[in-house]
Amino acid sequence: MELNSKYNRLRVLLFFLLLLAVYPINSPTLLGVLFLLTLLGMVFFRVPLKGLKLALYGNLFLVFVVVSLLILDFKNNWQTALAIFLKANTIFGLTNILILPLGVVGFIRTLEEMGISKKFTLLVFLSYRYIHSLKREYETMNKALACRGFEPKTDIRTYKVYGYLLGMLTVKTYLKAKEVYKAMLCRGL
Amino acid sequence: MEKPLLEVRNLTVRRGNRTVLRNFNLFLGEGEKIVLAGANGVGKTTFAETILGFIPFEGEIIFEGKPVKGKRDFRELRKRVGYVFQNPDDQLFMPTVREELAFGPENLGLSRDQIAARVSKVARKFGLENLLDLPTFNLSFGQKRLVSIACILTMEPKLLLLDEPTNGLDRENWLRVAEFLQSFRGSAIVITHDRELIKFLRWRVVYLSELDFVSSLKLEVPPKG
Repeated sequence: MELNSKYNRLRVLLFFLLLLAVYPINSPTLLGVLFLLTLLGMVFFRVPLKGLKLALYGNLFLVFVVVSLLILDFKNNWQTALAIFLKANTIFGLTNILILPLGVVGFIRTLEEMGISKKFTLLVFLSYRYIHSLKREYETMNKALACRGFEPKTDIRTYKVYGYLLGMLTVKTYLKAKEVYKAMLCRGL
Repeated sequence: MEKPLLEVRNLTVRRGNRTVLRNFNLFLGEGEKIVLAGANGVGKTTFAETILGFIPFEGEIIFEGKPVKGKRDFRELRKRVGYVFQNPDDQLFMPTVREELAFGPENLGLSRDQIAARVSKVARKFGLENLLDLPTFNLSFGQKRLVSIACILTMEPKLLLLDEPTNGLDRENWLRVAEFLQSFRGSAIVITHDRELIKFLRWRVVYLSELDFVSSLKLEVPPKG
């Protein structure tokens, strides 16, 4: 148990050190090498499919940034765009290798063991819970839409419906947050 | 033999490593109404969500004589099967009750007049006329439950599928929902573990057990009065 805990702390420490090392690098060649090494690491440590999926979602956002840079000025920006792409994917890879196996709870526990302030780790945990419940709410509401024969199209009504969905999601999360706060007060906060 | 509306053959549903339903069979005739009962966690809601195409499955689902397989088939099925969620908060998302009731018929492509007629007819049936312009999130739980049923009824579904419709209701609203179910003319599946409701409805009861098999039986209840 103790060995496992030490090993986890080592993982998290290594992750942050590597992040600090990768962050200032701007050379596409060096970033390319690091990216390849990370890919090899992912194969070696057999990163599960779930991790690759998360990286793929991350890349969806990245595409917007990279493509916008290329559209604005391809000649001057291609190196920056490539650097952003490689840097972000190296970090995704490192997260998959070092943090993903710990799980969110394991990661937070390890942070606590490393002496990180309880307030901060609690905040990380609550953010995770909040995002998780938001995701669940969104999925359920999407089901509710589908159940009533809604088919998204490229028309005003579809945008309006999604607007209502987002609005209701905000209202619901606000009400839920209020309830959670009341529950905390009831338990002596 | 009754004309079949919904047939489920050898339905097996897995969630992760757990088999929730195994070789589940169900036959529902046109106009037939049944109760799907069982303890918490035996797969009642999973069954409903599988029928609607939200969960992958093995086996066959046949609706109105046609096998339902691909995404398009399920999209069509969802227009004809009205699903009332276990928690009304999960179902309601439009700003007002009126828009909530009109949302389904709009998706069916009905005209404004037809939609307005359906909305006022259903609102009258459930006593919701005074709530039509109120925001849905401000309603009481009982009112939300009534709206969640009403907004499905405006679609005039061929089959009504209700998940725990009497959960958390006070006596007055409980009676309202139970009496509506009893008087409902179409086909319906009510998922519940509310014994009082089962006795009240006196429909065929299908029990889902944890042993992954299903026994269908008629619940013996004393005659009314």
